[in-house]
Amino acid sequence: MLELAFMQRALIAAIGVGLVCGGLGFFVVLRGLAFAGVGISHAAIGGIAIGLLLGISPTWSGAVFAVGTAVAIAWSRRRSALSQDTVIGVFFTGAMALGLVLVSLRRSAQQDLFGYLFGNVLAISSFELTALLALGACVLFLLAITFREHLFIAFDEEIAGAYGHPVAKLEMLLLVLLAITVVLGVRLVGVLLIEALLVVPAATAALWARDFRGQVALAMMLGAVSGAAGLFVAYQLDLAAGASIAMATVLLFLVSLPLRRSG
Amino acid sequence: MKEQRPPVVRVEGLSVSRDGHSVLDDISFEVAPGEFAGICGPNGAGKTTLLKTLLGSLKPDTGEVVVLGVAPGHQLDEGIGYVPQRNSVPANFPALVRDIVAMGRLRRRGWRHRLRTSPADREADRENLARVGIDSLADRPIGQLSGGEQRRVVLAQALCASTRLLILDEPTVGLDLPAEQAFYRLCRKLQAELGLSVIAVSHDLVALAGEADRLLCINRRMHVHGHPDEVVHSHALKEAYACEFDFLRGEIDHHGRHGPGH
Repeated sequence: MLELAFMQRALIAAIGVGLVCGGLGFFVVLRGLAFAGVGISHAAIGGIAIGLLLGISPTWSGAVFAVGTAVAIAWSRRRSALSQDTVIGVFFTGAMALGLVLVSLRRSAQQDLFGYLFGNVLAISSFELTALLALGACVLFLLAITFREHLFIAFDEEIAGAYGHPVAKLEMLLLVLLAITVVLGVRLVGVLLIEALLVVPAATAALWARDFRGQVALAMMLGAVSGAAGLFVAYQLDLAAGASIAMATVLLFLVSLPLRRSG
Repeated sequence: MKEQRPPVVRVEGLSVSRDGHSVLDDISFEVAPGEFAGICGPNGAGKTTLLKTLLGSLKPDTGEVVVLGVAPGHQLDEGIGYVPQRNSVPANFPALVRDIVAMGRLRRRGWRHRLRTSPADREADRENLARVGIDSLADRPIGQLSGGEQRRVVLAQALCASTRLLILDEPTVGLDLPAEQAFYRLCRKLQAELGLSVIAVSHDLVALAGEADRLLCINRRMHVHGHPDEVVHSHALKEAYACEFDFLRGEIDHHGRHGPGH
């Protein structure tokens, strides 16, 4: 399968997205941002629909909605009387409903939307792949240089704030990185299943490794392995690639669970 | 000679309000280098507000606050070591004791050192762990430690942030009596060893009076400050604690009596 150029691109994309999602997933699990991830990814549907209708790049318009939602969630954590869950609920359903209403205006857009909901990694162009890898590298770089501060905030945000760390800004950064990662995963697994790569490899890693060094390394590895294995199985058995990748992450988790519980 | 060095903390006529309510009113005091100042007062007296003002996370309405020679929150290199009320660390928090301790130094480390801890920093972290008596636990996951040990980790972290001024906010809540006494004894030892100043807030007057060089009793206003023996036997202390009840009664009267004054 690897002699096919589109499969090569798909495999590189799967490994790249798996690495980024695994690394960021560590904080998604540690800071309880799983629902924020769901909210951001589903809100992107609104932007994607607008892109499809207006003929601009759906990935970019989706990214605008995803980042906008991330900013709103971060803001509400600090300054709103509404709970974060409530804000996520409003944005998630509002943006998604907007997307579906817009798409219902034009039948051809519905077909296209399907690819964004569940991924279409075999259709990824070399330009898209290059952009994906460059953005993914940026996300990992920003995460790496702020890693210790995010860990400090997870440990005790009051102390971190007292020592002059910009807690609110760092939280905003983490959620924006989450939004960018969601957009990176749209081609691979689609907005509906990106959550699997964000949460499950990191959750599996937390079962096996005690401290963050092991957990981050393992989560990134599991993300990449799930991406490659899911793609391989999908190709062999002619299954949906995105869903197969999500299944691979969950299988690794389910296999780990009894091994770690008994041991 | 000690008296001639500038105070570590100087507060002059400080008033702070939160959500439109006056929480602190006209507070003035100084903390000398190497001094252990205990701040006591009933619940809701504004103790934590006072500490947050010193840390720079709350802004005063009026008055002047100088911490280590500058306005709060503007310390450049060595700032304040801070031990807040007991936080509950999840049992599976994915960091080792030495990682938690190193966080105290994070703000002071340059960009180049963000990814790696330098050997010199690592050595200093070890030293601070040894100072609080838990260097043998350096490589253990933080969640496996007892409550008292976790408090010591946060104390070692605070020493990494500063060896000049420690601010402790109810640091022994949730500890049993021996662990509480051991914690304060340790603070005393560090104070003597390093010459650092300590400002500790507690509602537990007895524990504070045993350790502090000076007690400040506040309840919105400064009621009394001085040597623990004087404070404990003063009328003003009773006043400060009774004030809570007076205040409540005042509110009840207020409804019947009318008029904003006292």
